[in-house]
Amino acid sequence: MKLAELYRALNISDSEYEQIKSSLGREPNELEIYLFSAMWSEHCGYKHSRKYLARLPKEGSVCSEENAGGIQIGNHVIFFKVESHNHPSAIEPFQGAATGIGGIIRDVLAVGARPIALLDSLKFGKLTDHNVKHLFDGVIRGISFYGNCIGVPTVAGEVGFDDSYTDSPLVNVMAVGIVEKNKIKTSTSAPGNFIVLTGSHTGRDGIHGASFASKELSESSKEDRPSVQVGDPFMEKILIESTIEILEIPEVIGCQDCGAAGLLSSSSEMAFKGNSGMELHLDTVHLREEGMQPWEIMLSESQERMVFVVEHSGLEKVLNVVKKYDIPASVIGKTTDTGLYKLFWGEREIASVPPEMLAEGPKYDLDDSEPQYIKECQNLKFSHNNALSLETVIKKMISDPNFASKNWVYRQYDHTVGNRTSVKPGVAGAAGIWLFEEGGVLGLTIDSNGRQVFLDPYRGAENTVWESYRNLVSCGYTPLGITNCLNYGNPEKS
Amino acid sequence: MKAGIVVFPGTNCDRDTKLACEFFGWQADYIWHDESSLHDYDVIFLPGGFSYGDYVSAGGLAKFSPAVLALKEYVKSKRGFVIGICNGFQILCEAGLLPGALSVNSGTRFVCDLTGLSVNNTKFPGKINLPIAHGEGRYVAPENMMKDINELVFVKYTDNPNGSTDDIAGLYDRSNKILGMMPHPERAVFEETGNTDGRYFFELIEAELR
Amino acid sequence: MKYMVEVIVTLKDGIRDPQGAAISTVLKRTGIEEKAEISAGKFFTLAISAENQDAAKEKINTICEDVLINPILENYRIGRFDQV
Repeated sequence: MKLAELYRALNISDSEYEQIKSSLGREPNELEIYLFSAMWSEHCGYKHSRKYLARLPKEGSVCSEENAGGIQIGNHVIFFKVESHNHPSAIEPFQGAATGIGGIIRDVLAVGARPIALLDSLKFGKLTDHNVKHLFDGVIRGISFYGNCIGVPTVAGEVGFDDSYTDSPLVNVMAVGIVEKNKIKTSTSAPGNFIVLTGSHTGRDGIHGASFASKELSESSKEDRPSVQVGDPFMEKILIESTIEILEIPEVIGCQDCGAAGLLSSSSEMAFKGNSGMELHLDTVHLREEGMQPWEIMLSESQERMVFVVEHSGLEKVLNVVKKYDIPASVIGKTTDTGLYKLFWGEREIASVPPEMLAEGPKYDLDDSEPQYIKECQNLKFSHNNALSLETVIKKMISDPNFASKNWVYRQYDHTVGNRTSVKPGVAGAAGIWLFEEGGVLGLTIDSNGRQVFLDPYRGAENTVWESYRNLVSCGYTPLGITNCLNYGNPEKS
Repeated sequence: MKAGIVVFPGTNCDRDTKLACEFFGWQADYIWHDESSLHDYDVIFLPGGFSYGDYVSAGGLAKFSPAVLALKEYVKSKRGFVIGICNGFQILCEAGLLPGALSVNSGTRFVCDLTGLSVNNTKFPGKINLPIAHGEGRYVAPENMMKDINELVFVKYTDNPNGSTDDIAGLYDRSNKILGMMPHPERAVFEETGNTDGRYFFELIEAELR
Repeated sequence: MKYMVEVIVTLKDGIRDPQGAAISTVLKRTGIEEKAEISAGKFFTLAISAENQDAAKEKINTICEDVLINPILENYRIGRFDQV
C-alpha cells in the first residue's frame, strides 16, 4: 500500500504528514506512520484541547504533569482523576464501563497511589427506550463487576437521563488514591535502564481490525477482529498489589500504565519525560495471540498492563515480585543515550523516531465563534401552564428518573470495602472517606450539568464548579482540589 | 492474640480485616495462600474478596491453595478458631469444611447494604446490623441436610436480602471451631464507618480463645 | 412439533478469556496440567415448538442471536437438535 493511502486511511492530514517528514528529515516508514497515527490522534494527543487545558490553574497541586494530579494532606498525597469511556460503552456497555474503571484505576496506580475510592457520572437517554435500558443496565453491571472485584468502593456518583444521550451515553469514571509523599513515582526514565512490562498478555484488543489498512498488513485475518476490550478485574487486583510492591523498590525509577495507544504511548512518554532514548524489542513482549505485527503490538489496548523503568541492580528484585504474584511479565527493552525511540524485531531495527515527536504532537486552535443555536436558545420563550396544580407539578418532577433515588444503582456497587466509607452514597451531597493514615475524613463529589453547559458554556461550567463546591461545603468539608472530564463531539467536524 | 489472615490472589478485604484485628490489640499477619504453616496463629481469617476473580465459582479455585489444605490439619489439631467472611465463607463451603454452598443472589445482582441480623448467642443484642456486599450470598443445601444444618446456624437475616434458605447468614461447623458468615463484621468496628456491631464477633472470638 | 436443542456459546476468536486463564493458572499451580488451554463458554438446553424443522432452526437462531449471546463477543453453535 502506498504511504499516502496509508496515512490518509489512518487520519493523518496532509499537513501533519509534511510536518512528520520535515522533522524526521525523511519519509516515515509504514510502522512509523502507525505510531504517529496513534500518538497524534485526538484521543491520545489532545491536539485540539491541549492549548486550552494548559490554561487551567495548577497552583497547590502535586504532580500536574502525571496521569493524575494530587493534593497534599499531612505526609500523604491524594491523587485523583476522572476519565471518559463513552464510545466503548455505547458499543458494549458492560465491558466498556468495566474497562473504563480499569483504566482510571491504573492512572492513580501509576504514581504509586493505592486506589481507595471510585466515583462515576453517567448519562443515558430516556429509560423508555429499549436500547437505553440495555446500555444503562450494562454500564451499571460493568462498573459493579470491575470495581467490586478489585475491592475499591464506589462511594458517590450521578446518573442523568436526557434524549441527547440516547445513542451516545456518557460514562465518566473517577478514581482517588493515596500515597506517602516520598513514595510517589513518576513516568520518567533515564538512560541505561531496563524496561519491564507486567500484566496481561498483549492481544489485538482495541485495534480496529476492520480498517482497510490493517487487512493489508496483518498476516492472519480470519474474521474481522473485534475491537472490544475485555476487562479482567482479577488481573487488575494482582496488578495493583504487585505494582505497589514493585514501586517500593528504590531502583524502579519510573512507571506508566498502558492506556490509550497502549505500549506505544506509555513507553514513548517515559522516554520523552526522562530525556532518554529507548529500544524496545517487540519480539520479547508476552503475547496472547500468534502472528501479531509490530504495529499491532505497539497499538494494542490490551488491559491491565504496566510499564516500569528499572535500574540494572533492581531487576532481580522486580522479577521476584513478579514471581510472587505469578503475574505475566517480560523485559522488553532498555533506555539508551541515543535520544531516539527505536523499535526492533530481533536484531532488525524497524522504527526510529525522536520521542518528542511522538509525545509532543501538533496543537491546534479551535474555532471558537459562537454557534447559531446559542442565540436561538436565548430567544426561546416559555409560557407558564397555570392550569396545572402544584401537586401535579411536584408529582411530575419527582417521578422523573433524574430526581429519583439512585439506590438501585449504588446498591450494586460495593461502597463499604476498604473500611473507610464514612458517608455512604445517597446520604449527603458528598461522600466521605476516612483517611486513617492522617486522621480526618475526605469529602468527594462528582457533578455536571449538560443542559446548562449546552445553553451557556461559560456560565454552565462555572455553575458546575460551584455545584461541586457547594456539595462539599454543605457537608462541612473545605474544598482542596478539582479535576475535570470534558465530553464534546468531534472537534474536526464543523 | 495472634491472628493469621489468608490472602489469595484476588482477596480484597485482607487489609480491612487486619485493621479491625489491630483495633482489638491483636497481632495480625498476612498468610500468602501458598503457605501451609498455620500453627503460629490462634485465629485464622479467610477474608472477603474475589479470590481468583470468582471465576468458575466463588471460592471454587481457591480451595486448591496450600493454605486451605493446611486448614484441615489446623482444625483437626484443634489449634484455634477459623472464621471465613463472605468469600472466606464461600471457600470454606467449597472446601467441604462447612456444609452447603453459596449461590447467586436470588435477585441476580450484587447487593451492598446494611442488613439486620439475629445471632444465636446471648452475648449479642437481639438484633444487630452489619454491612453485606455480595453477588453470590444465597445459602443453599440439600433438603436432607437441612435438619442437621439448622443446629449449626449462628446468624440469620431478619430481612433476607439474597434468598438464602431459612435466612441463613452464617453457621458453625460441628466442632464449633469454624465459623462462616456472609456479612462483614470487620467493616463494622470503627466509629468512623458509622456502625460498630461487628465488634461483638471479635469479642466472641476473644472469649472463645481465652 | 416439539424440538429439544442444545446450544453451545463460546467467545469469538481473539476475545480475551479471563476465566479460562484463571483456571489454567490453578491447574498449572496444582501440577495437574502444565499447559492447560482452557476456554470457558456457556451451555443451554431449550425445548421449543415449531411447525417444521426449518421453522425450528429459524426460531433457535433468533433466540441465540437476540437473547443468548452477546454478538459482539460470542459465537454459538447448535449441538443436539432432535424432534421429540
